[in-house]
Amino acid sequence: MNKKNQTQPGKKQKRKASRRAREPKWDKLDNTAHLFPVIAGDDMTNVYRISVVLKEPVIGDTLQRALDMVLPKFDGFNVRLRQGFFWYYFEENGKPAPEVLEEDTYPCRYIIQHRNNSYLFRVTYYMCRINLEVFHVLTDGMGGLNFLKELTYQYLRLSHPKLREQEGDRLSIETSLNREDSFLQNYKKSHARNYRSSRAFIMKAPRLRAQEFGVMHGYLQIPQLKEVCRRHEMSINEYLVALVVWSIYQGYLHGAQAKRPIRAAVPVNLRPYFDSVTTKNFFVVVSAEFMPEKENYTFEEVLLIVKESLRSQIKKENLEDIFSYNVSNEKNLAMRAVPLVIKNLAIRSVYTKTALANTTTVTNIGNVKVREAYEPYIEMFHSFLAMSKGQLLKGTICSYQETLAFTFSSVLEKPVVQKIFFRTLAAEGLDVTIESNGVYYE
Amino acid sequence: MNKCLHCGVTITDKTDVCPLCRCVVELEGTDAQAERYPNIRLKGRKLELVSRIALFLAIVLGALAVLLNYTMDSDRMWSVIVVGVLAYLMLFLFYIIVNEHAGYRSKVVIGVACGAADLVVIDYVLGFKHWSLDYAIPLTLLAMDLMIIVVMFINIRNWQSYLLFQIVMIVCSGICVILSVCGVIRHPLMSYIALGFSSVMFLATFIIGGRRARNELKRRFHVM
Repeated sequence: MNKKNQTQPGKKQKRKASRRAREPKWDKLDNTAHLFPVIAGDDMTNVYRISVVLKEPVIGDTLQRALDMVLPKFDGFNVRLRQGFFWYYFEENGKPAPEVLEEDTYPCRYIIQHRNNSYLFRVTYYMCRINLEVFHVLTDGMGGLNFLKELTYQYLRLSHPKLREQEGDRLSIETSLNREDSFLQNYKKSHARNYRSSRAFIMKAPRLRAQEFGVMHGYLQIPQLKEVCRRHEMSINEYLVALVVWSIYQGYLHGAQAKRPIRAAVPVNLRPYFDSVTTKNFFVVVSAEFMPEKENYTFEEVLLIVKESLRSQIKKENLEDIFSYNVSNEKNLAMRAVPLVIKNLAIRSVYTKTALANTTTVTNIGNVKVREAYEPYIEMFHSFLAMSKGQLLKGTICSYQETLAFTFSSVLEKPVVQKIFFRTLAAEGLDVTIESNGVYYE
Repeated sequence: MNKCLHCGVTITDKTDVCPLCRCVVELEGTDAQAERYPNIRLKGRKLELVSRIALFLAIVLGALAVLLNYTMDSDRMWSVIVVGVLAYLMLFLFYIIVNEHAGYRSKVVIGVACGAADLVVIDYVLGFKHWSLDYAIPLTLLAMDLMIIVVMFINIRNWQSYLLFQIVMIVCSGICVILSVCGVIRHPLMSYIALGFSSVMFLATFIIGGRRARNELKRRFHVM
C-alpha cells in the first residue's frame, strides 16, 4: 500500500513533466532581430559564417553526432521562427538537429525558414574546416561563436576519446546560455535618432554571376600588425577599418573628390559596455566616415580622419543613444499594436531609405580564445558576412592566437579593394598570406 | 605556397596566377597545399528551363485566344476564361511548384484564393449566375476546413499551430455571410454552413486543447 502511495505521485509527476515537455517554449525577438525576417531574401540573406579550421580532416558523421548532442543545450539555437499577429517570435523547435552536410555551395545562402528542419542555422564542413552559418535573427557574432566553440569541443571530444575522458561532455564554464534582451535592459527613454541615413558613396562595378560569392582571407601576424598600428597611433580595428576606406577611395574614386562620403559601418559589441553576457543580438552600428572634399588625400590623412570619426562615436553614451531610439520605437504602445503586416511595410520602407547610408561594413569578431585542452587541435578561426543592399563588399576581422584573419566577402567581379588593401599591408612591411574560394580565377 | 612579386603577398591557393593582379606567381617551396574550398559548379535546374518554356507557351496561347476571340466577334469574352486559367496554371507552376521559399500554408492559401477568384471570373464571363459565390467559394472554404483537420492529425505534435489558420477560415467564411446579408450572395445556406463549421472547429480546438491552445493564441497575439 505504502509502495503504491509512493509510486503514484511519481507517475503523475512524470506524466505532468512530459506534458510540460511537449508544450513548446517561446521567446520574443530582440530589438535588432525584428528587422532581419522582413528584409531577408536571396540577395540579402542576413546570414553570417564563422568557421573553425582544425588540424585534422573533419568527419561528417562525428560532427552530426556532436551537433545532436550540443543543440538541445542551446535554447537560443533550438528554435524556429513563427509569425504572430503583431510580432515574429521564436518557438522551440522539436525536430531533430539539421543535417550536417559537406560544403558544396557558395557560402551564406538564404536560410529558408521551413527547410533545414525549420532551424535558423546550418552546419557544413569541408576538409579540415567546420562552418556555422547563422541567420542574424538568432544572434550576433558573439552568440554564434559561443555555439561554434561548444560544437567544436564536442566534436573533438567524440573524435578523441581521451579528451572526452579528461573533459567530460558538459558545456564549458565560459559558455553563456543567457537569453536576456539586453537592449530592453539597458535602454534610456525618449532618445532622438542618432544614426546617419544620408546616402553614402556606393561601389558600382560588374558583379559575379548570380549566386556566386567571393571570399578572400588575408592572414597577418599580430605582433607585426601591432607594430604598424603603434606607428600610426591607432588600434588594430581602427587601422584596418581606415585601410578599407583608403582602398575604396583609391580603387573606386582614384583619389578624386566626391559628393558622397565613403562610410564603413562598424558593428560594436555592446556587452563589455553594459556588462551583459546575453547570447541574443546586442550590438549597434557606428559609421566611420571619410568625405573626400578635395583631391588626393594622403594615406596618413585618411587614417587620421577615420580614427577621429570612430573615436568620436565609440563612447558608451553615444552607443546607448543609438539603440535607445530603436527600443523607444519598439516600446511605443501605438506601434506595438500595429499588425505585423503593416509593421513589415514600415520596416522595409525605413530600411530602404537607410540601407544606402553605408559603403561597406567592417566587423570585428575579436580574438577567439579556446580552452587549453583543445588548442592543439585548432589551427584558425575566421568569419565573414553576406551582402546587403548597396554593400557589395564587406570585411570581417577575426584573430586566433598570433594570427589575424581579415576576410573580404564580395559579389564584385574584380578584387579591386582587396588588391589595394593587401598590397598596402605588404608595403607597410607585413607578411601577408592570402587564400580565396577560387571565384577570382574564373 | 606561391608568392606574387607584384603584390608582395603569399598565396596558399593552388594557382599559377595571383587572384589580386592576375600576374604569374613565383613558386616558393614544394609543399602542396590542399584546396580549402570546394570547386563549385552552379547547378542549372531543369525545372527552371521547363518553367520558362511553359511561361512562353502560356503567353503565346493567351495572346492567340484574345486575338481569335476579337476576330471571331463572339458575344462572349471566352478568351478571358482562357487567360484566367493560363494565369492560374502559371501561378501554380511558379509559386507552388518552383518556389522554394514559400511555406506550404501560404502556398495553399494563395493557391485556393486565386482559384476561387478564377471561378468568379468564369462565372462572370458565362453570364454571372452566382454559382461561384453561392456554392463554389463556400464549398472551397469547407474543403479547407477539412484539410486543416487532416493536417492537424498528421502533424499532431504541433496541432496548436493551426489555430491561427482556423481563425483565418472564420474570417473568410464571415466575409461570405456578410456578402449574403448585402445581397451579393443570393443563396446563403452554404456560407452559413461554412461559417458554422469553421467556428465549431475553432471552438472545439480551443476548448479541448486547453492550456496549450490558450498559450498558442497568447504567443500569436502577443503585443509586447
